[in-house]
Amino acid sequence: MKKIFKKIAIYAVCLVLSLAVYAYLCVIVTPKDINDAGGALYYNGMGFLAEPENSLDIMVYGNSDVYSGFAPAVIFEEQGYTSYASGRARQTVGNIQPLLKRTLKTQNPSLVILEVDCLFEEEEKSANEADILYAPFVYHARWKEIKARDFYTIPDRTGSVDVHKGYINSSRVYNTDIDENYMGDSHAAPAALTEKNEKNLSEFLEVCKAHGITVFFLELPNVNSWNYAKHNAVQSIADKEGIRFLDMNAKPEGYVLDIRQDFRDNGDHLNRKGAYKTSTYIAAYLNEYYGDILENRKDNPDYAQWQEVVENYNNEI
Amino acid sequence: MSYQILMVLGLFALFTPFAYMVTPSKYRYITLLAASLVAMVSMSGWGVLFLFATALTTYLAGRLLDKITQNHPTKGLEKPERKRIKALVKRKKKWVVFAYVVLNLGILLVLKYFNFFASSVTKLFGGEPSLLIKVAMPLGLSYYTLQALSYVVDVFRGKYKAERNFLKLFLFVAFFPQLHEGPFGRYDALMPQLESGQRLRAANAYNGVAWILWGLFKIFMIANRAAILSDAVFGEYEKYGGFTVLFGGAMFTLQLYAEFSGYIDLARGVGKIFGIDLAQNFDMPFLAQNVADFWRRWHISLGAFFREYVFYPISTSKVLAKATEKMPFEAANFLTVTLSLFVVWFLTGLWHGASEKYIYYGLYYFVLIVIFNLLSPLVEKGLQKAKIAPENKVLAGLRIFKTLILVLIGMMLFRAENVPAFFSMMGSLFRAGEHFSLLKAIELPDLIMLILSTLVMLAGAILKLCHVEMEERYNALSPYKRYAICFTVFIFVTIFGAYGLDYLPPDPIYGGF
Repeated sequence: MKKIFKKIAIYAVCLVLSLAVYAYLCVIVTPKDINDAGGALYYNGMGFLAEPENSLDIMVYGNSDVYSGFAPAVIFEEQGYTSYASGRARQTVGNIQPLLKRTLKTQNPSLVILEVDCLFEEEEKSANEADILYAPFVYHARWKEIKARDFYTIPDRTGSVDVHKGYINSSRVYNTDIDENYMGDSHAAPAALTEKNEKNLSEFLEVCKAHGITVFFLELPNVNSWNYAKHNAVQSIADKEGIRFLDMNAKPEGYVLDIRQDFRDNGDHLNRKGAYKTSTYIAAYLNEYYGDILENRKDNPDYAQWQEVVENYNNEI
Repeated sequence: MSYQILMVLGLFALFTPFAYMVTPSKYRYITLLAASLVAMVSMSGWGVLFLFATALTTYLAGRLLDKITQNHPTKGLEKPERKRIKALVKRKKKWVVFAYVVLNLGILLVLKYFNFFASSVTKLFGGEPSLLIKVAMPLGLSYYTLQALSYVVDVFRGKYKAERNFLKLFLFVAFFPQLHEGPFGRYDALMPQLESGQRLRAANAYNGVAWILWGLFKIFMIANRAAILSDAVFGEYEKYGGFTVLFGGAMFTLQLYAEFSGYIDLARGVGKIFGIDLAQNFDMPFLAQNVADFWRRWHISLGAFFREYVFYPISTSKVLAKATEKMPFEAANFLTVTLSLFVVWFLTGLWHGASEKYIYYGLYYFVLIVIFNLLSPLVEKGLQKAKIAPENKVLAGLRIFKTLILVLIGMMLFRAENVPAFFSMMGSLFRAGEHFSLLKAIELPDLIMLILSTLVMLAGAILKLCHVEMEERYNALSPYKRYAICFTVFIFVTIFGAYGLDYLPPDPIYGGF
């Protein structure tokens, strides 16, 4: 009996030691700054947590289209509006709900932009690869850049301000071979949203309404996943809810998408040229339709960090 | 994709033992079969139906072959009658095997080779292929088809009786650790282990986990990093000079060995957890004295399959014996062996892929082996004259070096985009080009890690050469020490492995077969 207890005790010690080593490794390899390798992945659309309280006028939520195509630096440079691009790969509107709730703990945006491609994402992400528990598998490549601070700093998404404001710049040009008329028939029957997405959307809109936030539907260029069937479905929801909807794929006046030059991959994500062109157009659009609820912060000394954001953006491109 | 397969293998290696443990020993083979089928579905979807078709036809063919023998007893009959019945039985059995081969190799040919042959034939007549099929090849099709075929041929030869339990036979064909990249298992070696239902033992588990970690070490520490350099060279071979092109070929050779043997170690490790010993597939191939020796040490189970089920039947066939009966013995022998070798190497090349470069790859080894067979007697005479013993160490070293060069050339043909690209790479050996710019393709820490990890792998081989049995020494350690070793290696590979962020997942080279 004594032998068995001894054996169990040794196995328990082994297990506890292993878990302790693993936990410490999680701490070591997790990015401590958004500029560390894998930092953007770890911040995972939540870089807004480090923004000064109530400093964001616009929050943009959606999937990877958002961090590829919406450049807050351009919006600020053009119109002086502060914004954050909170995009995460393949997330549904259900995944966005908790993000909105976290945003509202520290921010009070006047306008929330929902990039509507997420309404047609079907699988809700059950596991978040940015979770610190998976850190040794996700951020292990950081061993090449490990610093002394990594051994004693607890990872914290509120720790460092994101100078890109959620935007991820890519200079790659992918000459897509997709047909220019990728949107199909403009009279196409509206595509159906899943019941779950419909329910989550209505909850999302209710939360915004309860906080007095104006909602705006936006669809960034995506020649692969977007078409008129989806456009018509969103338009009908927008009409029903009294929400403005701008679809950059439906050739809005004054905006010309060059599908051979503006994407970094086969028509899914904009590159920096496409993002600049699109964000410039959106900035003017926001000024035209939401100028009354948004404030130009360019000359406000409290928003001096945004000059750095613009400078950094201009340097990078 | 490769990570998905590794994940599936890992999850099944982790959870199947629990299900296996709670199953009564008599039915444990059913648990293994269920796990194999779920693994197949998760990795290959509807491909499982092809696997089922192969298992079913294999089972029926085996049973039919047995039944034919049983229905024609020869005991107590006169010799002429016995001879007549034996011939009849053989003829009937041949028809069964023929039908079986047509059906199963037919599936393999259609799914794997139809598009290649259709394109080749239409291009030959100056047209563009219009009839191409778009069906995803089931995972491990080439592996399980040949494994099942070996069983049917063995039953035909009377090596053992046919399996009476369909589920057991299905497990033999579908056992999940070897589905992806082999090794080919033989029924008489594998089935007793699969059906034994032996209980799980901690010692087996520690041993299995160590093999799995060693496999992961080879794949993530070496293969994936060597792939960065070989991809850079083979992707832009025009710009590099001869030495760098050769270096790229060496990196590909290293990548292929580390990856393929790593997967095999993984499969063997999973098998060992259940107390099942899968066939060994590598035996220090880079110490081979000649290319034939190389193929006895590299992908051993494939070489053994072709030797036993292609080479021997052809070289001992009556047709060939009749065709060469009037020739002098040596000429007849040479012709028989050469013809058999040609078929073996043509098929070996074709097995590696539906592309003409693979056929050339197989024939390259055919030519080398024929030349070796022709020159060996002359070389031996020369050595005798010069009074140099065949086991001379310097001579052995030179032979190894020569074999390495020949294998390296073969690997370059294997990896090159196509045959003209291979010749262009060979031509680059004689022209100037860039060299050190290749180092830009890999970060310095990755290069250092690649060198260190390769040295660790080499150390393993050197210890084996010095008869230091690491596996035995490891198994003799206390469980806590073994646990500590496994945990440390696991953490080491997790952190320093080349996968995920910053690394592109290379597709497993031998996984597409």
